[in-house]
Amino acid sequence: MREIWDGLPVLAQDLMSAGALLLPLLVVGGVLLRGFRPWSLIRALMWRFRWANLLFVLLIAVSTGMGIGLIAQERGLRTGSAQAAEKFDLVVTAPGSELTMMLAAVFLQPSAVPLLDGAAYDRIANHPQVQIAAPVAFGDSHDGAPVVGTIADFVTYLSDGEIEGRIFTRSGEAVAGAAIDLQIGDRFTPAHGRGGGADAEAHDGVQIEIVGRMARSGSPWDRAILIPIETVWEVHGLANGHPFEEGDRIGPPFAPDLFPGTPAVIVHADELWANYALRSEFTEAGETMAFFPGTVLADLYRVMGDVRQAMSVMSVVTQVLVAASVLLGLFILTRLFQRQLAMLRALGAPRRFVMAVVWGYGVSLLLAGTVLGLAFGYAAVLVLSRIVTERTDILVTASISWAEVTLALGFLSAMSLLSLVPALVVLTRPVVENLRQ
Amino acid sequence: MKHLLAALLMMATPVLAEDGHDHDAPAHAFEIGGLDILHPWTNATDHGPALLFMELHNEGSAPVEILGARLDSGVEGQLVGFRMKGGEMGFETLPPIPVAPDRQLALAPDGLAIRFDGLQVALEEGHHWQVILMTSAGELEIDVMIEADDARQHSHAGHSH
Repeated sequence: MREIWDGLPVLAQDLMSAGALLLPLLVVGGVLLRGFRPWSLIRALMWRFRWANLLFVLLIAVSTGMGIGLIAQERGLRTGSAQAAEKFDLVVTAPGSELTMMLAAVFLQPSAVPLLDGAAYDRIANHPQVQIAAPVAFGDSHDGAPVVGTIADFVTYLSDGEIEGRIFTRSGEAVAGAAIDLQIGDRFTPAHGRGGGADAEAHDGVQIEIVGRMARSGSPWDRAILIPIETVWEVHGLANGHPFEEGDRIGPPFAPDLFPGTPAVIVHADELWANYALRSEFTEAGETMAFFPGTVLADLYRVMGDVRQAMSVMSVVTQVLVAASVLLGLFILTRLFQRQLAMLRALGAPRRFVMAVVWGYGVSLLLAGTVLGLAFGYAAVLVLSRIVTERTDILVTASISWAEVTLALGFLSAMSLLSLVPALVVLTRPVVENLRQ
Repeated sequence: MKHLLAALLMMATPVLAEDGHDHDAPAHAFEIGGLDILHPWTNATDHGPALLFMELHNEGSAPVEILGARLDSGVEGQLVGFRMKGGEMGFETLPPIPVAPDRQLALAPDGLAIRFDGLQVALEEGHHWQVILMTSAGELEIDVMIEADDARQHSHAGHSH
């Protein structure tokens, strides 16, 4: 049975799950409403107590929207951060914390990290299965944006070749990320360091010209300025990785003894399988550490998964509280029109018809609240995604998936069953007494 | 170096015995064509797929390719690599991977693995699983330790065998 289920397309599984969740509602609705047309009465009840009903629908919508928004936002952030790291197949650094190194090298978070020497870089760059071995050097900034030293091949790889203008070809040139507020031809002087402590005058006299702009990638590299790694070394008074007789040449190969060091080497192999072999080869005790950013993120997501579960529990608790409020509300609302219901019964309406009216009324409110809740959830995700993208440069896209729809349908279905309780209670009230009120 | 390791291992044996190691238990190290296979393990599962992990070290003079693995029942396991694609975690099928002389290759969670789909029997924690490793140097039956379903490494990881 499980194999048949696993063999079904994902959409078919989702549709069947949604159908199974809605089944109790459809069965109860079918049994109660069969042969009756209570909708004109329900519409009249809706209009008669419209403000109370509207408040009720909003209560359901806000609670459902909150749960949906939280879950969808967590997924959006997870997907966005994974996509931002997708270009980084393998990262080689000095031994240390993989998470710290990943945050520094992939997400460009400021961090003091140890350096790899020229011999280590040479061993990586000259490996026959390595296509790109990009050293990266960070620490400087301009107007809050990190200025990152690297090689031209990596800039082309990172941007998939989509560069307006051109790539840097000599020291002192730069390619700006898509979100950088500098135009081609503009010049800037990098500040030493990042954030509030950056020293804007440390590199006085250095002028770097923007010669190209990368297409938007949805990663923190959109807010980075990429320059030749030689420029970073030169402005810090270090050797530039090349012997004097090579003149102004930039890029690999570098002379190991003139290589000042790099905190990380981004490695891209020709073949996917080679990354796994390279990871084993470049992980040498006390020398170098190689890791897949995807693996580090997966570990992080496992921890986030626990947080997500906690969020889901909180969401369920909120829904239970709302369910209790909805039930209470339905009791109160049925008290509001108990005289009309008693009239119906006095006129000889069947007990099932009266139940159908009360249940149909409750389910209509729940349905409206749930649909509105999905819209609220989507709007919340849209706003939150924009804020997170603005603040982190990780492109978070808003979407409502089947997981959220399932949560909403589950709530609707469970509440539709519970709505039978006030419908039954109405029948237990004495008709004559209600008519006198 | 090998002699030194052997001497260290002999010295360590009484200590290991005191630590409660079961020396009647199946081996954790295997060898074929100069390729050392250490600590093969998998996670307990009742409905698969099962991912097979191990540490490989080529002590020989020729490269050895890892082709995959199979069971006596005929079920075949394929080399797969963990990959984040489109923001989703998943595995991609990989071609045979060579282990060059004096090189190591780790099959580990969220990295490289040999995946078995469609297992007919459950893999229970604490039991052992017989798997035939397929390499370019030949086939070898290895004894795979079944760890907890959420284990991230072999329970003897870090030990020298």
